Amino acid sequence: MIDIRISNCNKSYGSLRVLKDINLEIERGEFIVLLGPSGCGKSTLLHIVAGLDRLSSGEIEIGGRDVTDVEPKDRDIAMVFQSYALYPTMSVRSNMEFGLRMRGKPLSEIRPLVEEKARMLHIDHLLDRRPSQLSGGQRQRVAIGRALVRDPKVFLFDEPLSNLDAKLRASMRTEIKKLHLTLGTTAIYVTHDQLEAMTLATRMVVMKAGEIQQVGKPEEVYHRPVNLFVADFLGNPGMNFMKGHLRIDGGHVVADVGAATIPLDGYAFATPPADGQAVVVGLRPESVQPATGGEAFVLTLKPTLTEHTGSDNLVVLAMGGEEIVGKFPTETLPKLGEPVTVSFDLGRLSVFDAETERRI
Amino acid sequence: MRRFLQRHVSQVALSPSLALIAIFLYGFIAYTAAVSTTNSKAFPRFDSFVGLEQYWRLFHTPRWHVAFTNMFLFGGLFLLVTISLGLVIAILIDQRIRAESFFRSIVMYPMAMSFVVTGIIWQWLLNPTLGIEVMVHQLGFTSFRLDWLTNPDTVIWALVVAAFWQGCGLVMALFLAGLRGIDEDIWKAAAVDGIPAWRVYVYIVIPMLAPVFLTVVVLLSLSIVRAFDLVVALTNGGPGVSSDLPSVFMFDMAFRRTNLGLSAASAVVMLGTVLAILIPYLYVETRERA
Amino acid sequence: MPASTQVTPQATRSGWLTPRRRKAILTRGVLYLLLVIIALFFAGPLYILLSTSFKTMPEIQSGGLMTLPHEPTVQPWVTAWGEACIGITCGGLKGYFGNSMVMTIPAVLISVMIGAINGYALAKWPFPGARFVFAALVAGNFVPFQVVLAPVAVTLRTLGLFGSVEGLILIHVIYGIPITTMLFRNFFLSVPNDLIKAARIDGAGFFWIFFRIVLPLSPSVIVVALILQFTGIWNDFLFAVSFSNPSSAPMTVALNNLVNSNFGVKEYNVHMAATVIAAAPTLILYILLGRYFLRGMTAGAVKG
Repeated sequence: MIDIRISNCNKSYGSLRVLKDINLEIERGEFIVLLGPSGCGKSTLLHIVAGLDRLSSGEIEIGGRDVTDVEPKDRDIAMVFQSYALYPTMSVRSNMEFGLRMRGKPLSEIRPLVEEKARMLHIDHLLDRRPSQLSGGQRQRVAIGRALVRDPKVFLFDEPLSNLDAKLRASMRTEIKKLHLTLGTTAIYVTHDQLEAMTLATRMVVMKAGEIQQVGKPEEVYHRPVNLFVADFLGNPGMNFMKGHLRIDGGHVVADVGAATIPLDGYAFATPPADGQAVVVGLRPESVQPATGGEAFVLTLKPTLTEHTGSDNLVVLAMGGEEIVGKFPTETLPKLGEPVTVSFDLGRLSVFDAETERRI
Repeated sequence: MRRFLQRHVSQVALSPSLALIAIFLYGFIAYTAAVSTTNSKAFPRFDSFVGLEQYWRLFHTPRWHVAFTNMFLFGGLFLLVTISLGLVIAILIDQRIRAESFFRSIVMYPMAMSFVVTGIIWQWLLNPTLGIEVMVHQLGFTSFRLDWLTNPDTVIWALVVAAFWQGCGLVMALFLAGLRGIDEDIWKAAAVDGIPAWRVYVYIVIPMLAPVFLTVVVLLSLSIVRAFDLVVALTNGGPGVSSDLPSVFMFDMAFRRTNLGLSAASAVVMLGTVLAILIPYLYVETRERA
Repeated sequence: MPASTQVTPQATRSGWLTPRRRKAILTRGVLYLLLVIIALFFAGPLYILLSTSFKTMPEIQSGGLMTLPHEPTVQPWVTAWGEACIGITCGGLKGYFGNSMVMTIPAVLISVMIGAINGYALAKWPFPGARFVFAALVAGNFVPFQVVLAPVAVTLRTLGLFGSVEGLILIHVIYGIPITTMLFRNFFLSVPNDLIKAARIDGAGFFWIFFRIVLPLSPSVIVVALILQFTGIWNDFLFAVSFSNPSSAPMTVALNNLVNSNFGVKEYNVHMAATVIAAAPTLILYILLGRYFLRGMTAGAVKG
């Protein structure tokens, strides 16, 4: 069942088009993450769904109802902000009660709700404090609690974790995930953090310059990016790119990338390859591994730099005039300048047309 | 209708103010500009169009010449005195002195005084039979003369000293805020390099205060063009018309001499002077921000 | 702050001073001497005002202004407040003080309220053209009011408000819009937008958010605006002298008429008591709320 439908949505500020013809359908219970670099329009899209920004053209439906011209308060949504946006002059309790009180619900019904949600988020001992007396993590819990109390049809999250330190961010991420599994409410979550996107999303939407690049399950977007932008944007360190040409030789397709000739027999082309076609071959660092013997494709390359990250060793390898990065297991640390034999996981290759930058 | 109000509540809330300002500010400026092209006397009359004749007449009125020249003379001296002494006082107060807030308060309290009060106070202090002159005589210096208020050549200094007394506090406060905003590490770096304090001020700190100087110059210039109460209370333009300023001239022509046309022309020239100060300033400000 | 002039306790073992320390003390001495001279220049006039206002006229004529009163008397204050002749009436300043209060308090409250709503609308509910509206309103701060004086007089006559306290209130409210709007708008920019958005999603409207969320966050700017407007309107002379008549004149006009009239013997003690009375309300504000006062003056320095 479609819960949110965004149709032909455009938004411009003067001559600046921040959203270009956005179409998106969201099923009930999905956790959609909007991901992209800053300025890609993801926050604007969220604000438009919330009703805080007006569309230039297009339509928004929530729960089968056209809400394009409906005020935010009447859209049955709740939102969690990056800055938490807790009302500084009200206690935590009043903050959480506020939305329902504005809707005229009697306090006798609101009280138990607030207390229940506060217990759920382990902030029940903070209810009588002011936001200024809370730590960042506590404030974020209150902000989430305030949204939960409302029991809305849709949760909207606007980079809710980016003001927290790394450790807190990880634990709050897990909690948001648990909450979604428990409540099953449809959610749209904006972030520029790909780790949040990969871990939280049931489907993710990658955006750039006001346009949707790819919509899909996280693993699908990660392993089968539709274009060079998505391939490059996801992953840390980023995907290795090798420029070259396709050669079709007696039914066999290979990519000649200068320092190597990579067989593409197992590659599922989306569009038929052409002989001599200029391409970029992409391979994630974790698909470049030290050879153990028996792999289909191996190369001998010279390491020029190694970085120990704790869980892995990142090895920069010279390949022709370019460099590629391999993510090696921590016990394998090659010596600089001494050639190592590495294997490419050909099943994980992505091939892009060099001109259109699209996956082929 | 309700929906319209809800959606445009911001514009609706602003519209009364906008309407009032449109009429009472822009409309009235246009009105005055229109009157300045007529031969209106006691009442505005638009059937007596004379073109720019009032402006020609204005700049051929000796009294306006005095007033207009005085504005630049008074303005120049006031700017010079207030900015230099304001800065020096700010630097003195910035030396980690004891009772800093006491000294700051003393320098700044005159800004709570109206220009009328300021003018009256200095009228007494500069009165040769009552004020500072008498005091100096009592100390034994009987040849001391302080005749600013009665000497047409020096009366402008009476305005300068009174305006300085009232306005120095604000200038000092702005400079002090500027000095406090300078990174402490600059002083540490200079101390490590062995640069004497006065050199750090002259070559490093004061140049860093350039934006404050700009702000101060513009603020003071605006107040100079508008200066009115101070003159009325301190010298009433005298002796003769020697301490006249455009604002006093304008007021006299409008309300006492019933020469609205000429008065309007002088008011428009005052507005023009403000724009001449403001437009370059806003240009610099907006360009720096962009 | 210059580290080199800092005084550090470093007397030598012999108990005498090092040359460096001696130089530091000398520098400090010159510094405080200058500060005392400066303080005398600024504080002197107020001292003279106060001391003379408690002297008798014979004492003033014999001794100048600088001494403390030999036989302090409050008669000048009594005269200034209730008996001094201003123009043709001899009822002292009390009526004019009342005029000033009746004019200033409503004008301040109304103009601050309007400025707060305008500033809130401009800062937190922007619409296409909001920047232009802001510029158009704020430009009013720079206009020398001489340029609107004559048309205002005509308008007040037409409205039947010329020479009335109500007329002065109206004029002060209108010409207070630019400065209060600017002050509040600039302050409200610092109120997080997310707060407004969160409240809108929760179902609160324009005025509800203003009164219950934004205003409670802004006590300091409200105080600053109140001080700025009170000082400006209380101290105003141009509008007062242009649009009041003898019965509605505020303090500034009455004081000027009292002191600068050419009739009779100049009773300096009465005049100085009158001057202190005229300056007292703003001076008290300054003493009580110095920090806010400075912020108000800095913001108000641009206005006409």
